[in-house]
Amino acid sequence: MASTPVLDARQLSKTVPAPEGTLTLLDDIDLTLNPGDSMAITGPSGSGKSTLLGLLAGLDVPSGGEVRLRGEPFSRLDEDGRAALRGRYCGFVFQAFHLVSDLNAVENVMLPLEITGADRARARARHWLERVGLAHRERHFPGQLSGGEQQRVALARAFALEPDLLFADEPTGSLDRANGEQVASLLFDLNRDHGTALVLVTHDPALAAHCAHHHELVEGRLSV
Amino acid sequence: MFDPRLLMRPWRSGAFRIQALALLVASLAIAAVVLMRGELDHRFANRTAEAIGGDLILEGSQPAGDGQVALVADRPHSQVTRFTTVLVRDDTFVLASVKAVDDGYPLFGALTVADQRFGDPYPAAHGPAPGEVWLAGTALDRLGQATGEFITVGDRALLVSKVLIREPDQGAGFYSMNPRLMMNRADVASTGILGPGTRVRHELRIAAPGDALDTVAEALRPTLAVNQEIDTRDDAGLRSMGPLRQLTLWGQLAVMMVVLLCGGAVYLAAGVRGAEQARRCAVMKTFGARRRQILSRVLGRELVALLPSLLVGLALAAGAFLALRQWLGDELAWRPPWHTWLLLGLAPLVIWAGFALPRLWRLVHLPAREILGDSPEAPSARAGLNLVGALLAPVLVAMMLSGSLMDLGQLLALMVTVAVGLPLLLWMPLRLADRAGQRWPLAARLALRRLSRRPLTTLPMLAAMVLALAIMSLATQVGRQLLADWRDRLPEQAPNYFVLNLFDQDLDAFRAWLDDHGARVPGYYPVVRGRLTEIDGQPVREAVTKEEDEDDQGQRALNRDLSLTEADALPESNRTLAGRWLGDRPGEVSVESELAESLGLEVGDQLTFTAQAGDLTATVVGLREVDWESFEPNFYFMFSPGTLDGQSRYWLTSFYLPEDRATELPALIRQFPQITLLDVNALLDQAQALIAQASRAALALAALLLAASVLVMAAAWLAGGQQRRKDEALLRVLGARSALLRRVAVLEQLLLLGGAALFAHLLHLAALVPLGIKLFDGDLPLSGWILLPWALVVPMLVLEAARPRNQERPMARLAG
Repeated sequence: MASTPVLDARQLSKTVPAPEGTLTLLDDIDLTLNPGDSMAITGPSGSGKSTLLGLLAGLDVPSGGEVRLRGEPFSRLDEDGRAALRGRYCGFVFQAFHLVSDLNAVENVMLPLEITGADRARARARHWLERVGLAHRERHFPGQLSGGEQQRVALARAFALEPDLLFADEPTGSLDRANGEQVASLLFDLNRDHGTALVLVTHDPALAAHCAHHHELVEGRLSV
Repeated sequence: MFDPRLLMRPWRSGAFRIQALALLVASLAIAAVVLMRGELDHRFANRTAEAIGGDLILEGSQPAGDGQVALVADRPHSQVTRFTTVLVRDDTFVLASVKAVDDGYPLFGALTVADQRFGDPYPAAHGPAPGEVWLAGTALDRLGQATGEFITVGDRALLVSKVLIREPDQGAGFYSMNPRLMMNRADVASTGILGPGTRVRHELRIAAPGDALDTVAEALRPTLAVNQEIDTRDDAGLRSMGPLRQLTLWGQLAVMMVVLLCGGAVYLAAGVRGAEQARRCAVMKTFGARRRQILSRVLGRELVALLPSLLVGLALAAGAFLALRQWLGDELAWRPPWHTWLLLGLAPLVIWAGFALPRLWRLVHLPAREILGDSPEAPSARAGLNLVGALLAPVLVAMMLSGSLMDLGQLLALMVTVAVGLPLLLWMPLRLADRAGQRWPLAARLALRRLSRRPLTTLPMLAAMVLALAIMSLATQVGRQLLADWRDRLPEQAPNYFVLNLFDQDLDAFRAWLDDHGARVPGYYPVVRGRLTEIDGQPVREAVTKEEDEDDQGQRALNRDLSLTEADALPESNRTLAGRWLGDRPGEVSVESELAESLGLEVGDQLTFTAQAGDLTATVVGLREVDWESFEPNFYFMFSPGTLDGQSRYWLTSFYLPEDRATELPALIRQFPQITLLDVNALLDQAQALIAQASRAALALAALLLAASVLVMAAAWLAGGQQRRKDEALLRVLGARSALLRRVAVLEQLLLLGGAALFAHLLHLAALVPLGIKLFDGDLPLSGWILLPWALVVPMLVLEAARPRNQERPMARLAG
């Protein structure tokens, strides 16, 4: 029997009102992602990559179609319902790292664990910091870390809950080459070791090539 | 053409509105204090000049020379001669203070006289005509004399034409009450009283309002003879306006705190405003705008758009000033000179220039390419420029507030102590909370970290709120309740009347009257006026080596006549601390312990006092602790019976008379018209009213302080808004429900406002400790008002909890 897809999007569309009428950002998007699978979404600036990521992650609601997360009607839930499901199944890595500046490294990693009420949050966070090579930096605040270190903390945070699905939005976009390669290698190692499905939005064809599937977004439509 | 609607545009920005409000509050606070201080100073100078009889007094043991009089001939002036003499009628003697005046007297105010004893009083513009004297009612009573009769002064019989009731330069104090006699200066020579060795003071009094005082003083100073000196209203004011100066200083300090906070709010809001304006400036530069154009279009319009709020602040302060003037009465009203209004207009501009301009100025100099990024941040000013602005602006405002360099130094020192000291004190608990918070639940930890990780914003905000809340609750408790509580705690039959000027011959009849009316009397004390002149045979100024300090109890005791008494038993409200109580032999003295310490007196020291009938010498046999709040007569020096024999004396007592028998007091005064009867309850009512006024002023300043701290909070919230929105969006992305976000926001306010209320509460309690020790036998005078900080904070928390949250989508907030 085929397993339930982690993520399933059907006829997804997004329109916004504009002075000259309705503007279509995304149109008729279908995609499916199974456990452990990886998918890269590329496309030129303004093609709607981040909008699509927002819809898939339940950070925004579609104008048409539906997103199902682990078989649940994700896009039909209210804000709090989507947040709860996202917390349970999803991890995130952003181009701008988005660490909470008032929390130190270990507290940032603890954040998703605490939000979902996971036990042994601190011990697990320390374990993940160790995995990304930053055990010695656990009490440092984001402002005291380099860009590469911040992104490694963000990776530890993303994997701390051992999510079924990881969304990565240009994860190496703000890093120099050496740090970018280190973070990318860590991302795919963790993805492989933990069987986490991955949705990767990137400009970088080399990074996209690491993924099993590759879609390009052009004028709001996906092409394989 | 200039479109006035352009000036409305900045008001759409929240950051601009916060700047405008902060400058309004600062403008209001500065103007209110400057105007009210000016009014009070002006009135005080007038009253002081009235009390000493002129703006400048040239005094000496010889009359002013003709040359000196000629120097001041073009100004209102008057010559007065003062001496004491004994008035005699039959076998009755009365020692009287005589003031011989010319036609120019009085320079200020008016005399009050009556045609006969207990006649209707009315004002008199000048003193008595030659050949006449005006005599105080007490002297008439003691001499058994009436107006229309003659009295002998020295060798001369003079007609008593009026009863002298009040002189404008009479001076205050219950004890300087030798009966007074006023005569014409032209008659002095014919009395033959003034011979070589007579103690006499000749005064040339001059009216020299405002700056003329210095001119006259400079003209007279080179002409001074050895026996002459100059006293001015400023010198006299400095001697007597200590409490007023202290109050003014604290008022100025509170305003400086308001200024610093408003400056902080302006600084934070200017950062946000700079970010809002940055892109516009960059576009203007890209299209070739010159710096001058950017200056006028951006900064110029910004400044002009702020002007209405400055004017509103000034107008509000002027309204409060006019209300104060109406309350005090218009007759001595101060008209602020034009330069005061100019300074008041400039003060908020100085704050804006110091705190906002350095940040906005960067817009003029920043290259366009640095601004036209994807996400323009607030252009940061050079640190040096910021620092210079932030230091210079408060110093300039402090200079405007304080009248002299000495006051400026004191004000700046106090300002630095409070503005740095209090935040430093609060920094410790914040650090401790930060450490303890590591194990707190997520919402509490996030809330705490938002505060503890931004100490430069949190600490000033917290310190200002603590101060404002503590002042508000203290001022309310003190103004409304404390004195009433203290009065409630007084013993049921604590004396409610004091009596002075009771003479030997009236003592038995007076005692009988009180006994008949069921009054409770702690004791009767003979009083002799005398000055401490020698300690162990050494002149007192040499014996007391302590540095001069006007506030020191010992110095105060050395500089005036003291009330000396005799007693055969230790009063109930006194306790012997060292040595013993007085014996039966004359020549022993018991000294109040704090004064003894201040003068360095010990048991066994020999003290010499100069009194009217000659010197008194006594040995210190004991030191006493005195309960000054007992409402019984208390004395620094108490002598063994017989020591004061031969001295001119009167009696002093206090008594308790039930309130329902107070209607019988007029009969007592009719029977003993020379006594001075003080109603303690009336005096306490007056004190209570004064304290209530002062507490209302403190409350108003604290309200401004609170408003300023709320503005800083709003500005900080605005300045950190982008980061806050990103953090909230991130929590959303990571799965946080809206309840968690609300909890974090409410907990943040709870920690800030609750912390402020808690520390204000502690500060209030700490301030009550000395009051409790002094007035309540060591008990803390607690009351419901102590909870006021919480009562103010809880509604703010409820509002925060009920505030609708932004429902913006997390992805957009993370991007932006």
